[in-house]
Amino acid sequence: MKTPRIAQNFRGRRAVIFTTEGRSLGILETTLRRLGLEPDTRPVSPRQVFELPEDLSPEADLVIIDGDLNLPQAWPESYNLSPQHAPCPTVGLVGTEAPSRLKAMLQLGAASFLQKPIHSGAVYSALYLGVNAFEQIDGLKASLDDMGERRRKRIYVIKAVAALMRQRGLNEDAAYDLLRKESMRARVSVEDHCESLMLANPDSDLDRGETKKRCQAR
Amino acid sequence: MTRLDLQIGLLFSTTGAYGRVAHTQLNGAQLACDEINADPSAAVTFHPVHIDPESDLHKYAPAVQSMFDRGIRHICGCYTSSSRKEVIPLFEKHDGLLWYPTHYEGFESSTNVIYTGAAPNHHMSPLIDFLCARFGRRAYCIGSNYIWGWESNRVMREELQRRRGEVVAERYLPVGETDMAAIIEEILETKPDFVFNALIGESSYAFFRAFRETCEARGIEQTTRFPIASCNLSEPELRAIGPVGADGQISSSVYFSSLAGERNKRFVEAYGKAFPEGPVVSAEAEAAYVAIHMLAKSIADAGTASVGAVLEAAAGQVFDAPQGRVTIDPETYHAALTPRIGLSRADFEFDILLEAPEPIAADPYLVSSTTTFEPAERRRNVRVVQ
Repeated sequence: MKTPRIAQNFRGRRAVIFTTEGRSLGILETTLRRLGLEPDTRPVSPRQVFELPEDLSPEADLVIIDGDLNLPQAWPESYNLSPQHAPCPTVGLVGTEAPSRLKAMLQLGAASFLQKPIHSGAVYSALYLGVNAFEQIDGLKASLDDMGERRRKRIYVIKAVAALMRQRGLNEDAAYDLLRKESMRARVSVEDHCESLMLANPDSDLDRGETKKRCQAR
Repeated sequence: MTRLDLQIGLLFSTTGAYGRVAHTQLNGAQLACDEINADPSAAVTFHPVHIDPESDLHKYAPAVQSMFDRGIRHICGCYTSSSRKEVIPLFEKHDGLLWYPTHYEGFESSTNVIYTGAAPNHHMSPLIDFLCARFGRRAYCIGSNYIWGWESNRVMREELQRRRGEVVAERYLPVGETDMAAIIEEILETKPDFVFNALIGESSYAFFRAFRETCEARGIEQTTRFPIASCNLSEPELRAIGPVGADGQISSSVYFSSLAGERNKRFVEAYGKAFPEGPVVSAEAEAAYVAIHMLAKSIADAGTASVGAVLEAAAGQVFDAPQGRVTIDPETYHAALTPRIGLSRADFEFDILLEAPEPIAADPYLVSSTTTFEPAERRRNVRVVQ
């Protein structure tokens, strides 16, 4: 897996802030502006029920949520997120340092915390961790998805190896080696290559019914 | 308005590893106090209280605390970033205001500090452009082992990577270290296009001397074969280096005492007259001088010395400084300054090689001058297809 590149400049990001009005909000907004972000504050009163926005993008936005608010339990369904994931980097504001409040922010995917009252010298670190941890989780998720996909297509590799062994009289290693070279030349994964081979020849005499039944993809 | 009488703190190490430069800062601040006190139209008379922390990090916080205990809230001081970081919590706790008159590596914007020295986009960015255009893109980086050295070298490394250059080695020495033999051998071995020097104080002077001596002994023309570039080399430091090694060195700064113009001439003369024993004027002295004048102007505008009101009045404050017009940016509380590149001469002054046409706003977090991601390490990226 390639090493993720570290983001260190957050210029141009919109920072959507959900918090109660307070003295430290001014410091937060000023510091965010100094860091090149555009603060977009949505004041919320402590007990108010509110909804999180549906228009956030991972590259252009950042969300700051205040644990002292009556936070929603999850992001809108339109994002189709797994638990504890956020649609964009998310930083939690910690007022009351209690497990229930920290959990509420963690459930929304907060990857870093910023203590209230806000100290300007802590903001950059919170953004740095928030953005880079988000990227890292995103990267891991993408590589997990990729692994799952390859696992799903493993059957085509087995079938393709078996087909080549029968058609050309090769042993397992030689058959696999050939498929791998072909896939590299085509610049696709060996799983994708084998899948397209097998799907292109569904009536191949080697693609027998009983095998199909037992080893269906998925 | 009745003229205010105000005690202010001057926190500069006139002794110890970086005492020489910090002493010029004390002088610059003192000169500004004298000018303001002698000006009948000024709104305030300053009574400066100086404490010398002797370049010892542990002596800064107690010094600031003792100033606060005396009711002082405006303090001009600190040369190293580590000392500044040490005292900032006290300023925030007691709501004092630190006027910080030193070039630094950026990545800070405390609500209780006003920065009148250069930010990294003032000194690093123009220097890297100059070095790449003039000498090449292979650098040997050396620095004192603390935040100034680390961050200066990081910016240098990333900018070179972006330009497809490289850092052949990056080495750090403890503050005050003067044994340069191993470093010098490595430079001669790795043959960089230039040496980037972020050493401070005695280490830096020792390096300039020893490197020049070694080069001369081996028949190498140091200034042309291995030019040394620094963002913290000023006139009093050239004198500290001495006759061997002081000339032909590159310095990126917002102020040199050889700058043309009547305003600077008056400043240099007044400084020389006030401090005939030296150390001579430096960029940091000018920054301290600017800081105290800005403080006086802000107090005049605010009509009070209360920290909140002065901070508000300081936003956008303009001063006709020896280096040219200086403005305090209301967003970052950093000064807009005019970058220059100087080449040192044997008479311990600088020839100005390049000069920005106008003052440039500080970009302490380099948000406008760098890309989102750190640049990728260069590596071989070959696909093997059989």
